[in-house]
Order: sequence, then structure tokens, then C-alpha cells
Amino acid sequence: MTLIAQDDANAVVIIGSGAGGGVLAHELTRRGIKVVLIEAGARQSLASFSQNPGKAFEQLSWLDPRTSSGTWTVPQDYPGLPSWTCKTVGGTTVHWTAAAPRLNPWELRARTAYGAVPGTSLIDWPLEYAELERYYGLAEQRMVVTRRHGNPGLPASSNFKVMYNGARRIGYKRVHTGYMAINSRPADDRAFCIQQGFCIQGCKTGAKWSTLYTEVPRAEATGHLDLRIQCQAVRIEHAKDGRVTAVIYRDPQGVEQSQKARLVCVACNSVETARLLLLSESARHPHGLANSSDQVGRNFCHHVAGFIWGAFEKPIHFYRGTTLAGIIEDEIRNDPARGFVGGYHLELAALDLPSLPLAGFPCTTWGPDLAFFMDHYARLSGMLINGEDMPRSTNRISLNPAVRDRFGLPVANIHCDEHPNDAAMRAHAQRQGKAVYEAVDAVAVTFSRQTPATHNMCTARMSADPAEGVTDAHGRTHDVPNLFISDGSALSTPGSANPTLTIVALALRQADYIARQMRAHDL
Amino acid sequence: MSVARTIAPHDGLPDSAYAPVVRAIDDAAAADAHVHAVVSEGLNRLGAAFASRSEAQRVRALGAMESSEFFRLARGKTLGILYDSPAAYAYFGYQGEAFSKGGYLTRGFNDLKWLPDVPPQDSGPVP
Ligand SMILES: Cc1cc2nc3c(=O)[nH]c(=O)nc-3n(C[C@H](O)[C@H](O)[C@H](O)COP(=O)(O)OP(=O)(O)OC[C@H]3O[C@@H](n4cnc5c(N)ncnc54)[C@H](O)[C@@H]3O)c2cc1C
Ligand code: SF4
Repeated sequence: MTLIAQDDANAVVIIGSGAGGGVLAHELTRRGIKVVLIEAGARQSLASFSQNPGKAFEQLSWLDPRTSSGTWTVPQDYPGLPSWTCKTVGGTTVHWTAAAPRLNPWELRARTAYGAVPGTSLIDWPLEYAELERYYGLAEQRMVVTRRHGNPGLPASSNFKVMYNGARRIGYKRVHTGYMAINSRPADDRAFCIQQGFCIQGCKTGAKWSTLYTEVPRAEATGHLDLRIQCQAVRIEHAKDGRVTAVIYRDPQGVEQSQKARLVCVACNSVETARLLLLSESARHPHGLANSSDQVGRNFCHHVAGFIWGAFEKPIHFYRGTTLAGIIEDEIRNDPARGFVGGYHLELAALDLPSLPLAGFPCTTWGPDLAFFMDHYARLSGMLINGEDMPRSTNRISLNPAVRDRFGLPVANIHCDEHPNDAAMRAHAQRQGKAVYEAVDAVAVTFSRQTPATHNMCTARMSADPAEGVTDAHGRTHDVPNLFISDGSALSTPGSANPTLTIVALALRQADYIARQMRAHDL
Repeated sequence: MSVARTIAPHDGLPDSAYAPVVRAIDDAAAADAHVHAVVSEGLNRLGAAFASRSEAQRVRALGAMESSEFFRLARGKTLGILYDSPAAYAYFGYQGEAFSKGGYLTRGFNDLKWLPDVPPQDSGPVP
């Protein structure tokens, strides 16, 4: 174990060991840069992952309180869990289901492509697609994404057969087992997928890419990483010149500690990243660190997301097999003739028996309706809608002083009012999903409403104009030259793709930039 | 019991499957005065005759209380507990974790026969 002194002002401090933070830590340490990685959660392993869905949720999830408001249905259907993320080494890459699709070129020019959609705060990315594409290639090779770079696809499960046949029958053309960061054969010193369907509970074979058992231990092996687990950052401090100087955190005993820093990279997953910046207010930054634009926490995006369940006469056993390995790509296009801008993915989905009634249906589903679908449990097929939602400056993370965590700090409130474009897209996707299942003789089809935000994005977004966002195209904050945002918060707009591949690509790019600037003594 | 049976009506499940739900609500009420008040008020509103009513009548009675704290509590406990037992796994046809047995790769992950197979280019090799 490497130890870096708490008063070592030469250390790079990264907060959060998930997709963004874990990759960045590995990339910097392998170049010989000293990194202190501060992680709020404990460390699990392939051996310690629980195989009981309820226990796994408790073992891995971020359970500190968060509150929620607005017209979205999440507060009704999932009280207490407006956003679903992990608090553990590896972050939410321990829970994630590993769908790793790319964004499309027009999605980086959302404002231009969609026009001035009323009630939105759309912007274009300050980044060319070709530049992102280069890093997509590197990210996919690193995460061993199927159907890319010669990696074979995952084999179709029974659940996917239903989706596939239905989709083809209604004319969809681009339907396959997906771009998954899951080994379809042994690779990267990790095993292959045995189709056990416990991807969310922590993949016990390690077939699924997670920073817990790739980036983090590889960073440790360089001898340049000081990983501090069960340490929660509560504040970032700065000097008179405006540069950040230290991260204040609570150690496992709850005692306040300080780590000096040459530069700080925040990768706490959008909700907590925004909260930490807002908690770090000072005379110089009265509305929160790096927030002179008042954009920190705003434009919160979570994707138009929801389940579609088809009940059939014959057995399917949808819980057997890789949870999310299947995609319909045909609706990923911007075609306002459908009644909305932006596109959506339809992805394969399944839930274990105990989770289905809690997570899979709206709170209004009970009684005979619920019983009907539960009685069909072994004859269900499932899909997940994942579509581009519209950023709104009023959809935001803010501090809620009425509710406090165990350190006495205000928790994050998530406010969301669903935009009419999101509602129109959801209705379209539900119609299409229903048609897919009816084409293969479903006896009934039902839907969830919006699911808790598993994809949290855009709360400290990259922008060309400093007034419209929080960071530049490298994730470097407009206000503070040695403060970086290194997670999904930095996405300028959400696009329709599951975000993690993009987060990893941007982290790789940011690591190149930081290393370069450090060499040039700019940092 | 009849509240849980109305929220999640599975005629084939014995009362013993619903008993842990009732126990959990009783325990929560015993541990917390507020929950106790919520539960007794909810049961009062439903009335003693609730259990003997027809299913349609029970659904209507509970539906009228859908936004109450009592209903949310009863629904949450019923859904959270009823489906999380070995008996429920067996009844609904859920086989649970498979890691200890080598996954579903060799245990039927793709055994569906009533639809055509997915062609190789849209699927992938079974390892
Ligand atoms: C069930 C589920 C399924 C998903 N499936 C997919 C999928 O198929 N494809 C996809 O692309 N994405 C998926 N996601 C989303 C994906 O997991 C996230 O996009 C990704 O992990 C986000 O990376 P991140 O670096 O922003 O944050 P995270 O990976 O969440 O990492 C953040 C880390 O920061 C730590 N942290 C937070 N605050 C502090 C603090 N103050 N001090 C110290 N540490 C702190 C947290 O404990 C956590 O470990 C899924 C998510 C869930 C919940
Ligand atoms: S299905 Fe595959 S990826 Fe998912 S948990 Fe099992 S082995 Fe891991």
C-alpha cells in the first residue's frame, strides 16, 4: 500500500472511484503521477458480493438520504430513492449492467440539431465528434466491449429471442445482443460471462468490466496510488488566488481530515458532485465552488427511462442470462415527425423476482393487475427504454438544509419537472415496445413510469461559453484552473446512449490533458 | 392478512406465505407509535367486515385509500416481503442465483423453443 502524506501538496486528489475516477486514477498513476483516491464506500470483492438481491442492494447502494421534488413520478414510485448509485470502491460500475453504446455525432450538437426547444437549456458540446470517437475506440478496447474491435457478441438469451423476433416482425433492422462491456470470451485477465443474470448485484465472475477489479487494483500496482476507503469528501478548499489547495474529508471514524492537493478531480456521480461543489461555498465562491455561472447542479438529466413488460403464454425465464444484452437501434435518430426531438434505445431487461414488484411497476399497480404479471413471472419478457431527455435549468440538484446526513451536512434535493418532449418520447417508445411484444403474441403488455435515475448527468456540464456551463472541453472548471470534473456531470447533454462509455472516454482524454499540462507546468 | 391478499392476490399461495407480511407490519407498529397510529387508523377505516367482503369490494375500499400513508405502508411491506421467500421463488418459477451452479449458461439461458433462433450475426458464440 502506498502512503502519500496529507500535507503533500504535489498529490493529485481524485474523489470517487467509479467509472470516471477509477479510470482517471489508473491513467495518471501509470504515468508515475501520485494520486490520492478518496472513496466514501467500502471495498467488496468477487467473493464478498452477496447473491441475495436485497442484501446486494444494501451492500452496494448509496443509501444516505436524498430528497426529491417536481412533477416527475419518481418521488411517488420510488420514495427515498430518486437516484440509484453505488457507494463502494468501483462506484456504480459495480451495479451497472454494462451496456456500452456510443453517442451519435448529432447528439453532440443537440442545440443546433434540435433548434430552440422551448423550456430547455440545450447547448452544443464544445468538442468535435472525431475527437470523442478516437477516445471511444480506446475506451472500448480497455473495457473489452462486444461487437467492437473484433470482440464477438454475447449469445442470445431466451429473453432476447422474444425481443428480437418481435422487433424483426415489426420491421426493425438493427437488433442484436448489444455493445456490452462484458467478456464474451476470456479477456483482460478476466473470465467470460456465464449468463447468470446477477449483473446488478455484482458480477461474481468478473466478466463484466468494473473499476473495482480492473482500474483500481492496476492503479495500486503502479505504487503511486493511495486509496482511502470509507472516506467521504465534505469540502474542497481554495487559496486567495482562487486555486484549490486541499480536500477536507471524514475518515472511517468520522474524524475530519485534510489532504493537500496540486489539483482536484471530482468524480462523485452527478448528484454528489454537484452537492460537493455547492457545499464548498466560500466568500470568493458564495454560491458554491466553480459556480459563478450558477450552472452547478442545473440541467440535471437522467434519460427517459422505463420498463416495458410483455406477458406470454409460453415459458421464457427472463432472469436467466445477461441482464441487458440486447438492443434495438432503429429509434436512435432525430426525426421530429415522431412528435419529439432526439432518439431512444430499446434495451433488453429483466428483474429478479423480489425486485420486480418494487422496481418494475408504478405505485398504482397492485391488486389483480399486479397479480396477473407476477403470476406470469416465468413467462415475462422485458425491455428498458433509454432515451435522450431534455436539459432544463430548473431541473437541478440543490442543497436541502431540512434534511442532513450523519455529518450534519444538507443532503441533495433532486428537482425534476418532465418536459413535454420527454413525455412524448416515452409514449412513443411504449407504443413501439408494445407492438414488438404483440408481434410475437403477447397476452398483455405493461409499463413502469420513470425509473430512479441510474444515469445521472450534466450537473457540471462542459460548455464553450463559460456562462452556460461549469467546465471547458477537458472538464477543467471555467472558474478554478486546478479543479476538474471527471464524471457524468461533465456531459454537455445526455444524448440517448447509456453514459458510462462516454464517461470513460472523457476520463481517458482528461488524463492525457492533465499529464500534458503537468509536464508543461500549467498545473 | 386480507389487506395483503387484496394488494397481491395469489389464490394459490397459502396464508403462511402472507404471514410474514402481517408480522412485519405488526412489528413496525409495535416499534413506532406513529406507525401504530397509521395502522390502526387504516384498519378502522376499512372496518371489521373488510375481510369478509368480495375481492371487488375490497379492491374498491383499498383503492379509495391509495394515497394514504396506511396504503403505502401496506403495499410496500407486502411487495417487499411476499416475493422474497423460497416458497415464492418456487411458486412463481424463479430459480435465483446460479453462480454456485455455473450460471445459466449450461442451465437453460437460451432454451426457448417457441420462436426461431437469433441468427449468428445478431447473436454470438456460446463459449
Ligand atoms: C442498476 C444500474 C445499472 C446501470 N447500467 C448501466 C449500463 O448498462 N450502461 C451504462 O452506461 N451505465 C449504466 N449505469 C450507470 C453507470 O453505473 C454510471 O453511469 C457510472 O457508474 C457513473 O460513473 P461516475 O464516475 O460518474 O460515478 P460512480 O461510478 O457512481 O462513482 C462515484 C463514486 O464516488 C463516490 N463518492 C460520491 N461522493 C463522494 C464523496 N463526497 N467522497 C468520496 N467519495 C464519494 C461514490 O461512493 C462512488 O463510488 C447503471 C447504473 C445502475 C444503478
Ligand atoms: S450474466 Fe455475465 S456479466 Fe452478468 S453477472 Fe453473470 S457472468 Fe457477470
